[in-house]
Amino acid sequence: MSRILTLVLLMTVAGVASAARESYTIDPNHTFPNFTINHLGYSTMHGRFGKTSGKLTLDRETMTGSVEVVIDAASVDTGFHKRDDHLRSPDFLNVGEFPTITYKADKVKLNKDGTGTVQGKLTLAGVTKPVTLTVDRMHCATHPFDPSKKKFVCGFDASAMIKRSDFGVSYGLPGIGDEMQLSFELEAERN
Amino acid sequence: MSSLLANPFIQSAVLPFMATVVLAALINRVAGRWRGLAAAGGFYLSAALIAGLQVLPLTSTRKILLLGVLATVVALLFVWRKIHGQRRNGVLVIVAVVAAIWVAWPVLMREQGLAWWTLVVAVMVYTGWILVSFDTLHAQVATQLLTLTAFAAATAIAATIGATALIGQLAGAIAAACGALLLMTMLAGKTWSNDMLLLPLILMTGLFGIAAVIYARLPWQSLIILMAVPLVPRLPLTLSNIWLKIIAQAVLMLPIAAAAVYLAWGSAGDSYY
Repeated sequence: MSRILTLVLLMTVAGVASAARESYTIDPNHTFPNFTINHLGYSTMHGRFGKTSGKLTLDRETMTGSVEVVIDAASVDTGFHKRDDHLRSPDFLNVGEFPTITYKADKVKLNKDGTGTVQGKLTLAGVTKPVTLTVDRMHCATHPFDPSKKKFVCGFDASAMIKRSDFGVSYGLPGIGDEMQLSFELEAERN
Repeated sequence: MSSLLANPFIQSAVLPFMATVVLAALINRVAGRWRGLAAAGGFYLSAALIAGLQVLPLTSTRKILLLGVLATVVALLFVWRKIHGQRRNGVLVIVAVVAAIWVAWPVLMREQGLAWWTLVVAVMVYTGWILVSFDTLHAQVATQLLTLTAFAAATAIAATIGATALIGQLAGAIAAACGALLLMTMLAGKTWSNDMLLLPLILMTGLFGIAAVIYARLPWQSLIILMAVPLVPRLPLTLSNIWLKIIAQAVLMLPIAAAAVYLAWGSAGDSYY
């Protein structure tokens, strides 16, 4: 009897733990990875990727979770189509051979004030390296425009600095900068 | 010094040209029959600066550079074992097919049906044609050098316009290296024959064109036009002086190269950055 009780208790705890960890699907219409890079010393070029998908899990009690983001590399947009074509070519993103850029992290640590860190791995142009994102802000709430009040959304602003040469994307150095400032605007809807 | 070496013109033109001149002069003293290797040496020195020395991840560009090394081994085998005629053509076709499919593999994996077959046949036919048609010129090395210089230069310019300066620079380095060897040959006043050692550069130039179409924005029609470049030496030019003939052939190749570049320009649009 005590064994059955222990088993039931364990299953209840596990159930509660898994219920605390919520699953979210990234909203591709409100999620955009952005980047900036020095252009020949003249100015800072800004660009973004227009197509993103993925999922994340979040435990709002322990403020931990995981995230997996898949970026369509060909969706790069710097506002100038010839430059975008060049970025897609073997010189830079090489989208013909590496159509996606991914970021996977299972060490998400968030603070109550909405800041935190995400330790994960970025795969860019076929090379995977550890990259830690700094979460600048986070906000979770029921969506104000949903009349049914069932749509629960979490949003994040996160950033990181990487060197493109670490990922083998070395063409044009040092004229075109090595350091890239990444910033993510991410929104995800609870499943 | 580092900013000088980072200059694309230095990387793709000056360095391979000068390196080939130095290597050819050195090789000529020791074993003249291997002088064709000087152009490959000048190119690879330049490629190390342009593309770097890393092998992984194995991108299409790095595959092409590795295939050039393999083709050098094949060419040395041809020379050492005196392989000629049908046997050599057979080996060349196999090399062309395997090389082209390997380079195009990431895109082939994603295609299906008619698109897959079209791509496979196109890359095989193009690479096979380039290897076999250039091979028919190996007995007239000066002509082969001129043809390869023009072919590589046109590929370089068209690829750069087709949104890949990396491939453009690499093909440009081949043009510069072959141009250097051609100039040395003309200044020496005598050519030589039966040189297979340009095979690696011929193969790589063909594959760079394919990569520029598949992975960048070079229109495939430009490659169709470039297939006519190795046909120019077959035109019946009644000039007894070989050097005048070379110059006449160069003039005839210009409009073909210009047409290929013009097509690329038309496809890419008139703006640049």
